[in-house]
Amino acid sequence: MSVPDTVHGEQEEAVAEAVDQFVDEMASHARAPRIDAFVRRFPAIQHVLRDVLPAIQLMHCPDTPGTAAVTADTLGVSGTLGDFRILKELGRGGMGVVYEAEQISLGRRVALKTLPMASAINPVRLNRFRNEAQAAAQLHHPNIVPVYAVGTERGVWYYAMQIIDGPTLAEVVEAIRTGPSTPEQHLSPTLASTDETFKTVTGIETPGHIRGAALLCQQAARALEHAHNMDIVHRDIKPGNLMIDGHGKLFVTDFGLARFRNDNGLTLSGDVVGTLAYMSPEQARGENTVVDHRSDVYSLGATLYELTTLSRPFEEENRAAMLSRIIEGKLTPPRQVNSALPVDVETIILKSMSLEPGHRYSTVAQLADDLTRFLEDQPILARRPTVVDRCQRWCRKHRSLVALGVVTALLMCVALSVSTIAIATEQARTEAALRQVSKRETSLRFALARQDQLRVEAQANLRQSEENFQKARDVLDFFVASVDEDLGGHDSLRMVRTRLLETSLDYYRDFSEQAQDKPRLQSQLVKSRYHVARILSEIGTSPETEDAIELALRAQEELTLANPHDWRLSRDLWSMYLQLGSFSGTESIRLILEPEVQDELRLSQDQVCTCYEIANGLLGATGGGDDITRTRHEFRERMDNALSAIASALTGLQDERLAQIELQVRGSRVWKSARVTRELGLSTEQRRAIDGIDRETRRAVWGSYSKGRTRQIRLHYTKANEQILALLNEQQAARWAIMIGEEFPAARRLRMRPDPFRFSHSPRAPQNRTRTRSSF
Amino acid sequence: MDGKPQDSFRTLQAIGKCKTSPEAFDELFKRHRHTVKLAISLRMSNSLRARFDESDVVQETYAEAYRRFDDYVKRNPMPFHLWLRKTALERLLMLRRKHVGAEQRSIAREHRLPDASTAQLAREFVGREPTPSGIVDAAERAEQVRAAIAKLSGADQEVLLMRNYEGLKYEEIASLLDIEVAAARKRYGRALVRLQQFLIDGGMSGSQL
Repeated sequence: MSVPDTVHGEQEEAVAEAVDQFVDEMASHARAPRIDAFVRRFPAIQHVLRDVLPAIQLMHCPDTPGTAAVTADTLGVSGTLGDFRILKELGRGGMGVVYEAEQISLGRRVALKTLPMASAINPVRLNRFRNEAQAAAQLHHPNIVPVYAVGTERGVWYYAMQIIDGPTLAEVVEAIRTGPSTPEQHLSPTLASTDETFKTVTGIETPGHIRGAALLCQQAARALEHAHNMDIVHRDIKPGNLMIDGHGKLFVTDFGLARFRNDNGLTLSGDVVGTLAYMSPEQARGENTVVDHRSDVYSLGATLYELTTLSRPFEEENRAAMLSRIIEGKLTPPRQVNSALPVDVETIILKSMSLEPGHRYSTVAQLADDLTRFLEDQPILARRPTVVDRCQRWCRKHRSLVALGVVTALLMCVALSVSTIAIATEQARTEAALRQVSKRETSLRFALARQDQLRVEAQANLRQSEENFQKARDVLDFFVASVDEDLGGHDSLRMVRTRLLETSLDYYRDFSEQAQDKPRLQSQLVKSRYHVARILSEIGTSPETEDAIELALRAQEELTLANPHDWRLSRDLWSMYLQLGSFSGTESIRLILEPEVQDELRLSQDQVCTCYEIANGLLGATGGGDDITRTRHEFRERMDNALSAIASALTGLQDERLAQIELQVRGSRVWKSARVTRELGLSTEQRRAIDGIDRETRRAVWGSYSKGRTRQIRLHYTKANEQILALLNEQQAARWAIMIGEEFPAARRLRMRPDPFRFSHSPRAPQNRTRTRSSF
Repeated sequence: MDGKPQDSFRTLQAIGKCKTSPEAFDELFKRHRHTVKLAISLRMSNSLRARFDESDVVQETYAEAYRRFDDYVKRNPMPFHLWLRKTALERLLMLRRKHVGAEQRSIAREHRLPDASTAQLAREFVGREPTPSGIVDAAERAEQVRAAIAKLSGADQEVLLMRNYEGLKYEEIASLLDIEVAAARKRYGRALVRLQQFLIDGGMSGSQL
């Protein structure tokens, strides 16, 4: 009971007085005074008040039922409420009572939902609720329960809507869950006329069940799409808010009520935990400002999860545990619950339920489209969570168990990348940036050291080894990706980057070797080979590069041919062709997708879109070649089509400039191209001299490379270029100047990164990352 | 503001009626029933709750007050509601002595903060929409506040309860504790300052809210 000496007598009275004043204000205002502001009025005793007032607030919570004259409960069963005559009670929930009622003036039956009074205390919130509910009442969509009226009568807020004869999906799920042997008894009356829906259910393993679930969610998604277009977010999508009528048609209900729920039903624990299960992480974190339509995407994903597996994505006894699981995204993969779930559906669910809103479907329409694709047996567009996602998740999951070093390194990496970018953009050549980078190098080494450890562990047993292998690979991928993302584009950092990539190269080679004789790791092998090739071509021309590229292409081709039905593989293959392959024209397609180039050409928004579409078309599903020559042939054909499509999308001037940029970007390789030879009219001697310079340069580059003097490599190329330019006669030089046009500032960056890492880190994940880069 | 607390006019009227009609006491008691019930429920320990219901104690208070009502009217030591409250707490103390034993001398060891208030609290606290996590936090905080209050001495607890839960005025507290009004205010302030100390000790400092 130690009381500081300074606080005595007068001060005690001052505290008492201030607290009294606070209590008065609390009583006389609808909203509690803000402690921060209040405390400032009493500077002398600020520190005491700051600690005590929250407790005072807690003690003064109005816990007085009966302040509201009329509550929903006192309405009774046979009363009237404004224009509505109550017929019978349909149900009670956390939000109030639902009655079947008759709208007297129109003589129609409605469902009348009364809202609890406690929420009506705050006029501001009430107003917001009214606005939202009224906006929701404007929604007209076949899959949205029409709202007839929102209003207040005798202090009771009500919400009148069309009465739907049918169960909610929550009831349906419950019925299937409790009586799996005879689901038809529960469901057939309501779903009699739908072949597709749950009627055919005999167990959740059947395709009929999955398709039914997909079909229902697709309807819900379409309804939400409509609402989102009107800027209305539901915020409380869950099976309990989705109803099916006798025709198997789905209705989304309770639009505009979510805010109401927030402060109320939450005290009814059982109900709340149920509601929480579908809540998006941003809602669970209470970040109301960032809750947008993608929150609905999440909740719909969670609903699909439950419909297809009959269990909730998160099952926890208490709220706190539930919330933290949601926030951490600790999801049991749905296929672990229902092994019969198709991979595509799982992918759709996982994408919808991504922790980061940015990783979910960006619109609910896209979710609906993917569901449609699944229902029509077409490949879906969603990709599995990317390596980085998995890596991050994995690190999170094993925080305590694993590699404190790796995690620290990852965090360091993230932290550093921010500072590195900031510094690099401002003063790219400063020592500071380089110092930062050498720290980063240390963190990479950390990670690599950890991988060594993982690989040692991997010897233990085969299965474990495969898992560890995957983990180690993921960590490496993550690092390469971040090294790549963060350090690319800054001249002064490029050499450091190269050095880091070289280091990882060895590891990828190791992985390739390890994966070689393990059939289950084939795709890993391909990826590793790809990385080897990519890194080599990044570092510069070397005798190895061509071989590595060929090896990587082969590996991907073989994998694709072995799995002719996996369209993703062929897509990856196309991407690799585009990025590594030596097909003529790949360069211009690659360039046209670069933001810098697009800016330089002043492409219109439409043109940009067209270009992305063309590129995407190029990567679309293969017609199914059965040998490598045919695959490559097909690709070449598509290339040609894409090139002419791009040419016709651009104006003459743009096309010309693109050609100029292409020449600039190709560096000294350009001199050996047929076009340059032809246009400049290079003489035989000149060509021979160029060959000589080229040979010389390659040797010099390889020498520098093998001695680890990567810094010199660029010098060799620059020198070669100068030498060749000196060979040209005046006429040719003039012609050349016209051909390459004005200097394109970004050319050097684009040259040094023949592959702009659009794969970012893995050939299986061409999407994601920033928008401009991602569309392919 | 200072001075003796007074009964309201209507209470005085009701007391007056009791002289002529026996049913009037019923009416009078009903008017103050919630005061009695709140005072009891705030101070009833769990061990006592295991044997009695709050309304049992209210009933006993009624009987006791009825028995001593004539004496009260004659002496009129304090306003009726305070006298009723005092009677109730005496009954409670008796019951506790009889059934639980003397080990629990402090009156308010286990008073409750109403659970339903946590949602409310989250809203008031955070100053925006209550959120599930906010409510979880609020529940935790309620627990911390509870713990801090429990650490206070009996006298400090009592004054906090009277001010913050029962909403008694300083004048009323002063007359109940038989001290000066200014002293009552000071005592309340002291209790708050001590509470602050225990809140900080319990890890609930205002800066994190």
